[in-house]
Amino acid sequence: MMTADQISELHLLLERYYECLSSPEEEARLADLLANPELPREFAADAQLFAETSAAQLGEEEIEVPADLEERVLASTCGVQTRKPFRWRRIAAWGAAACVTAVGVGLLFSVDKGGGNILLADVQKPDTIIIAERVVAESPVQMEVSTPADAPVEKTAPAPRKRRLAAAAPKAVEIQQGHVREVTDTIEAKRLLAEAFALMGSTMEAAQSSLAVADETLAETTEYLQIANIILR
Amino acid sequence: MTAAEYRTGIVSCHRAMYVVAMKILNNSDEAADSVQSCMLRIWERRESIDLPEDPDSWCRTVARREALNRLRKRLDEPECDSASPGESEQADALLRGNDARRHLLSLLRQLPEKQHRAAYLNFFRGLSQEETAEAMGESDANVRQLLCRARKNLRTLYDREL
Repeated sequence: MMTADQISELHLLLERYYECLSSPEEEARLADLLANPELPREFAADAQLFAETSAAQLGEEEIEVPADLEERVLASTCGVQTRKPFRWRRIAAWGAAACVTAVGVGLLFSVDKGGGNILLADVQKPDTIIIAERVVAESPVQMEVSTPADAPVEKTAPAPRKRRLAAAAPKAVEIQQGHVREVTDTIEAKRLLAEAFALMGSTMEAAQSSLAVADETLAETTEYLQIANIILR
Repeated sequence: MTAAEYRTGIVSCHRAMYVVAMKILNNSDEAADSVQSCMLRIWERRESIDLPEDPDSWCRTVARREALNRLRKRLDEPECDSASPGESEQADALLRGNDARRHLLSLLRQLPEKQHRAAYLNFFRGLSQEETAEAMGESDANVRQLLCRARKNLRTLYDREL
């Protein structure tokens, strides 16, 4: 049987509990009193309410921590630094090689079927454009090809890259007159590369470093084009 | 805090952080996201903070704040939290195989909506009165009033059942 003091203490604590004024210590004491097997029946509803509300929160033993959580945490934090950097330079080099090769091969084998002319590209330096004279063939079989020595050579002065790209477009007047055709393989390649870099590069710094690699590759490819040109002649 | 201190002192507290987050959010995916988010923030700021003397308590506090922020955002969206009357009991980790919680929740549903929500956050999610007030966007005094009424009303409902 609970004592009168315990019951009066219980009344007091319950009053504070229902007024939301009880401290954690008071609630612990309340839990002890309400768990008493000799609790009078008048407190049965209080006891049930207190028991259910006290046990409503998830217990630690009920919570199953995902097995891969630590791995995920490490991957999203420390793992950031251990990730390999994206290989812009290598991709740029391969991209440049592919573009230049495609343009070069296409140019070497392009035939103006209407006039029976072969339009030759002769590129000696990456930043130099040589304009080859149009060669008029008597027939598609008898084709004359001008040598670089015979051909009038026009060299463009080294200019900023943007200006070079702007100048890349064929000059309409020259094409209409049919005298010359600008061989724009390097410029076209650069333009293609610039577009590719614009798509690939998220930063200008990365794009510029990639262009440097591309230039080196262009120089190498140009040598191959020269050799191909000599063989063709 | 060095990277090594971070790994040994902070990452090792991920379990405690997850438990804290899970108690408040009652959603395993969101609790895991919450822990990862905390860890990432700590990692990014590690150079400007020292390893705490008691990393476990510190991490629990960080996880609790993050979980409360997430809960508050969720409560801003009506009917999106399980405290709302339209909750899915099947998806609720609290109610799975626990008749006492199910019973308490059925009684809570008989309360006015604000009392229901305040009592749910206080009883089921373990939020203090101040945290409940913050989560609900109410004043402390209002929430205290809501909780008092909820407890008294619940007592009446229990009494009727006996």
